[in-house]
Amino acid sequence: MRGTMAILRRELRGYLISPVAYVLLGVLLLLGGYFNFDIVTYYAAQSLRSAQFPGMAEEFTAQQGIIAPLFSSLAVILLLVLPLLTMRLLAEERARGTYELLLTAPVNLTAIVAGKFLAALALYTALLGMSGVWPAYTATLLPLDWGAVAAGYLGLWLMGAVFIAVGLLASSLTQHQLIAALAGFAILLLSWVIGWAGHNVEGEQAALLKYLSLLDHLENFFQGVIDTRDVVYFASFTGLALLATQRVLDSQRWRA
Amino acid sequence: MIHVDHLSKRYGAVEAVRDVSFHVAPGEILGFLGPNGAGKTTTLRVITGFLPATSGTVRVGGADIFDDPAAVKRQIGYLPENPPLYPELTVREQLTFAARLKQLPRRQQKAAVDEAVARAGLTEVRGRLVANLSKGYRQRVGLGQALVGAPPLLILDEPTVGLDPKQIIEIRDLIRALAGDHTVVLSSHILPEVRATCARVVIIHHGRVVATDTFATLAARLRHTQKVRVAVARPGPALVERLGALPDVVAVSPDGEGAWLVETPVAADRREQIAQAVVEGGYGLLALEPRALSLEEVFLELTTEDAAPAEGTP
Repeated sequence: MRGTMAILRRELRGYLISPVAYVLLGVLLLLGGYFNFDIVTYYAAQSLRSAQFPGMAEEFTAQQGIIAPLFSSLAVILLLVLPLLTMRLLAEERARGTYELLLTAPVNLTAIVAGKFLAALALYTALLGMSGVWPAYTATLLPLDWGAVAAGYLGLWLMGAVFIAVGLLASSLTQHQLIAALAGFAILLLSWVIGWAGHNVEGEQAALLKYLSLLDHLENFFQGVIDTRDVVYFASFTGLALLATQRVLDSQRWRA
Repeated sequence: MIHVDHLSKRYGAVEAVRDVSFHVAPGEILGFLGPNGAGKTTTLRVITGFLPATSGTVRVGGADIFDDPAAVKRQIGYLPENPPLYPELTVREQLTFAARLKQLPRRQQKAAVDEAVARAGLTEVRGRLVANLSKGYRQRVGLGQALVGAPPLLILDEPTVGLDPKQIIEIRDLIRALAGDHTVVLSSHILPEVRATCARVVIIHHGRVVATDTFATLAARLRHTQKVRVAVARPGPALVERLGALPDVVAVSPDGEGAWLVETPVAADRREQIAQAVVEGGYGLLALEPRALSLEEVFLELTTEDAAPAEGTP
């Protein structure tokens, strides 16, 4: 993995210099802020109503009523935003010709893929950290189960790792950043909605489709439950996408 | 320093480089000369490990590019045709990135970068963004990047393309100044460029090496001899001797199965005598054709104007 750090550092610097990261942060905060406002307002209205019907209140904790819906909204925003963050990772190197510098340095493809992935993951972690303002705000109004919030964040973080790995794979396939973003988005959207097809079939097929679906693996985290099966799902999805990226880069050398 | 043996590279159906072999001695400045599209860049890209060879071997300082690419790459400072630079970095940052990529020990990085900045003449622009530099300075940054860590071998692909005459002279002086400490391979499609900097030259055309020699020898050969290809049905032991004994014949060299190249001075056309000798010897003459010196063809296609605008080399 020699050289990974060099690539990671340059990549992060590239992110911090370019406006893209800031625009994405702005989009995330704007949309997230709107959703949070909407969710909290709705929750307030609901809890007012449940005060009149005491039976409802127990099923409507802050975790279920605010945190889980907020994380679901964030997941959707990230689905749209992260492919834009990862699209340049390899496509830009290719288009600029700097890819030749990387490939003729004493650095192997695995180190390149790792450096790129970790740089995007680091930036994503920072972006995700900033979304902490909303649960923090909620905590000023209501008691929160921080363990459950942390579980939700772990879920979002693991999901982001998948998004970044898939985006990196898409970026390895083309010189055009827009195509990379669209391809990444297409793959992610498909794995997002594939579970819905499970409603139309039965038995093992349904189970398989449900297992493949990103969405179904997020639910537990958002409810505050860390299930190792979900962790394994995200980790293996990420690993597979990274491996595929490395293989794509390798085969491109031979076909060039 | 470099041993390239029987190197071939195909792009799909196109054979960009065919059976190229040449060696470079330590400390030598070798010119890699050929018209646009001759396969220069492809060959250099295989040596630097950017592309894998279809067949053949490349060894640099004893390490094989296929078996131990990192060991080869560590010895090479490479300036591709378009200097691979990040516009958002400053010159110093760019070179520091190169130092890190080359995995120089942390403590040596700063010194290595400072030295490369000084040697490539970048002191004045070291804090500026690559994006704001002129083409000539970018070329220098690319060269400085290749120099980081003082690798024993420098590979420079068309280092003066797209520069104005003043910049060309500067870069050339720079390369000459590097000569003592590094082995240098310099590719170009411009004849005077190579003549100005290199003692020995490998000439490549249509993906094949057509000559490897010093400039002086090449020039002499070019002007003085022509070749005739003779193919026979029944090669006999005395054939070569017989051909060699003909008047004016300078050399007879084999050219594949049952064929030879007979070299004579340009002024003396000996085709008739050659045909007669073959027929009389009962070897069964199959073909007799003047072989236009491929070297000559190449020279015709080379740019002989200095500093001519050139673009679109693959």
